[in-house]
Amino acid sequence: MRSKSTSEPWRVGVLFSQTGNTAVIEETQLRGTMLAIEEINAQGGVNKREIVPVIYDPASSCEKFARYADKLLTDDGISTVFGCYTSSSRKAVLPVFERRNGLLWYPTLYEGFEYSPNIIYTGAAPNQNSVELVDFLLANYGPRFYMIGSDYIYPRESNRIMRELLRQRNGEVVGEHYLDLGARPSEFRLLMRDVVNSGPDVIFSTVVGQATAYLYQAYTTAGFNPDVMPIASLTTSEAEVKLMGSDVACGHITAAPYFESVATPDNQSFVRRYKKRFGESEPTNLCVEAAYFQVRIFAKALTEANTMDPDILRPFVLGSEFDAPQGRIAIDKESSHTNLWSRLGRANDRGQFDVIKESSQAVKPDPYLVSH
Amino acid sequence: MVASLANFHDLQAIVSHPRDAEGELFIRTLQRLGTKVECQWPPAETLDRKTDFLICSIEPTTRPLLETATANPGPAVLGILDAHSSESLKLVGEVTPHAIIVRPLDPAAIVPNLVLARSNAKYQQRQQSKIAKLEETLRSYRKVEQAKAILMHQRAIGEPEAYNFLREQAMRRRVPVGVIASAVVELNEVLSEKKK
Repeated sequence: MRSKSTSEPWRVGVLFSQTGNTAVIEETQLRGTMLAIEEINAQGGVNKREIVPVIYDPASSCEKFARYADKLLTDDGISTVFGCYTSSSRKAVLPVFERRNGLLWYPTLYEGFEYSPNIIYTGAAPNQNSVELVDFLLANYGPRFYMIGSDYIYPRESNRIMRELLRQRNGEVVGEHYLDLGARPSEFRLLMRDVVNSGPDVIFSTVVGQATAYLYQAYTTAGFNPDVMPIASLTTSEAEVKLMGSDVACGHITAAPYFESVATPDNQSFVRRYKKRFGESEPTNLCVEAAYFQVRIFAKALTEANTMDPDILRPFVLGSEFDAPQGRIAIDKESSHTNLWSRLGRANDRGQFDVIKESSQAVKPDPYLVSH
Repeated sequence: MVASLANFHDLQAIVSHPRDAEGELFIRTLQRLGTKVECQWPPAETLDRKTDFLICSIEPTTRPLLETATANPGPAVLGILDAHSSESLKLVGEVTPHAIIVRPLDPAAIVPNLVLARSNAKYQQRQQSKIAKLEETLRSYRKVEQAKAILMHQRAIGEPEAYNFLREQAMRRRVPVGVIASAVVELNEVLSEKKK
């Protein structure tokens, strides 16, 4: 047994891609994670012990995610890991965490329909973003949806749910296309011709990473008008807007628990600290925020548990509450997901989102859409 | 490995094995690891207390004990057996311990198999808890579907309205939707019985 008065650091794993197709957003999750760790250490660590991250770059490759996850949990002797953006990478590491009894903190919205005793989900489930978004789009733009996505698990599953929600509300899907994660700008320009022919009221995008910019740029080049037929998304955040240019993003809709523009003192302080650390031109976004608050929740639970043993630590995590930049949130005991705020934002010409609708409190996660 | 050894400290073990040289070897090894050991021989009929390990000779007399021990969530079960006994071999397949050691006993095999047994037992428990949670979700799903159908029929409303009604009731009472749905289904059963 280790002595209780040790000053040995708490070692945690960090798995976000710093290269490859989804690095543009995963790097912001890495920054959110680092900001939280640095702040906690500056305040004296957890029970006077520093948090030390062991960081690998899985380079947007699922095989590397699985390999590094295994390395962290075996060779490095670590049990808590913050990481993963795409659902494919999460699915790749899930069996590793279950077999080796690790704890993965996953700070990304996803398609739901998953539960693992070894994962804490801090991004939105479909009932916390998609439902609100569909209702708003139907009421304001019309029933004809054209779906464009990157070709992997999340977009296909997310669209399956979208299709169901639309069917219940008398909406319809007039087109559905998937492009490779590494798709070129020309492929998106070509797709715009089919959009013209289908005449949708809304484009629902599940395109992620670098390609997001190509979609919105192709849309602009095609001469469409966001006031009449916007692109709606769950993944186009301030980071992607910065990549494509605020003029290109302006007028399009995103549903998310968090935007940089959330006007609370907690968030304004968070945004200031983030920019001070990473540069004035670096916006925060929903993934930064989740990556940040999940480390704070971890640290809070660790203070009480005083051990990294997942079997002991996890009960302290479940049910815990925290004043995150988005507002007060809580980890849901039953589902291991998070009570999050539901918000709709419209991109403005300054690269920010104007919040056009928000819930009055955090919404309970319903990852299996039992009640929808 | 070092971490795994440290974890044996403060754990409890029951050794259901004759107190011969091999039985003593188990007891000594476990005590050296800091584990509290209790020897039970002849074996108990059922596992009547909480323990982290059951080290158990696999033979017909221990079968009832092994069967209760491998029910979830039980201890890590390490079986000791005679490889040449076809009866023991058959029992191994039936009671499925988390690790086994074959006689004659190799002292070096004890610790690795204790580690394996504990790791396997915990993994099984985690998977069981995941399955239980998923089954609960399936049950809720079914109840919500039934409750929705009842509401749509009785109130002549559409699917979204029925869902909304259940969701709002659940939110107002701060219980999961599955609970409200079960109540609707049950109440409907009670009321339709009265009519007969």
